[in-house]
Amino acid sequence: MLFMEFALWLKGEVDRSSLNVTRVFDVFAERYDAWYDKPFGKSAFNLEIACITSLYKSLKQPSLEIGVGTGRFAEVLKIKYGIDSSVGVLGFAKKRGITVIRGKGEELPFLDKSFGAIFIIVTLCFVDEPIKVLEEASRVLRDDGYIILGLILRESPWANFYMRKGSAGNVFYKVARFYSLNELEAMLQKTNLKITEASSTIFEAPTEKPLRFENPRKGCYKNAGFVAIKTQKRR
Amino acid sequence: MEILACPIDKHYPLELYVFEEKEEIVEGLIVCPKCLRWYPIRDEIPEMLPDELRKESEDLPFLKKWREKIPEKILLEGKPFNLKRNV
Repeated sequence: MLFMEFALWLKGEVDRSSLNVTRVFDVFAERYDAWYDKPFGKSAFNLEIACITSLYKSLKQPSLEIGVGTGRFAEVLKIKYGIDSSVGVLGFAKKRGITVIRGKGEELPFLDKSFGAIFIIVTLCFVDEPIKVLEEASRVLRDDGYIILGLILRESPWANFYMRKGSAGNVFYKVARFYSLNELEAMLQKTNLKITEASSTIFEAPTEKPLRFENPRKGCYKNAGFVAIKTQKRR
Repeated sequence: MEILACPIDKHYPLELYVFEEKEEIVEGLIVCPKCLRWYPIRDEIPEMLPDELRKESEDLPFLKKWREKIPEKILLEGKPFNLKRNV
């Protein structure tokens, strides 16, 4: 969701006709990062962090974020490793103390069963092959580890809000794809992952004003603006 | 290095060559001895991209810059790019 807001923020300011996701992050890394300090961005970020952290008591290590971006989430969540295909954002993540590697989620450069916790936060909607990313995440996950996904479900009014606002020609919406809960469950099924816990936040109607803080609700609410889903390997 | 594997064939362990080092490795090379793919470390960041995202225009100058320190096998047979034509 943060990315979509960022997309709106940039709307009309640049010629985006020749940009792809990796390139966008390369070129606009600094502005993307600064967006998190703006009133709406900050309020949404705090809600999303609270939602994610409600899913575990202690973070298993080593931990990895796929699509680490500028490292905002990884820094606060104390995630050790971050991978992203955009080199522009990785410099920021590195300054935030994260060990960064440039690479692609579909082809992770890690040994099998290396990580105790893996985070994929508002990233699945931007990857080329989500099933491959989940397969790879599962491969590098320890048998006792968990993967936490952070996303906006297609059923959410917030997804509609962004889709509507992204008018014709906005390349961000051409490359982004929201998945329904059914689609997500089918992808997890295929990749031998099961949902063990979920948490939802942002229940206000879509707005651009800063959001009030509230505690996340246990479970996966289709109307929420952000859901965090904890998955583990099926045995 | 203790968790890095080749993104293509997942071979482990990989070989590390250090060219410039301060507190961290500033420039260096990571090599998969199995498939002979090489991955640059630039600005302290290891770049482990699959072939289709590699850029010959950025990678060949890197090989040339450090050719004295890079194993001949990689210079001649490295993937996805090498200096065979230029040697």
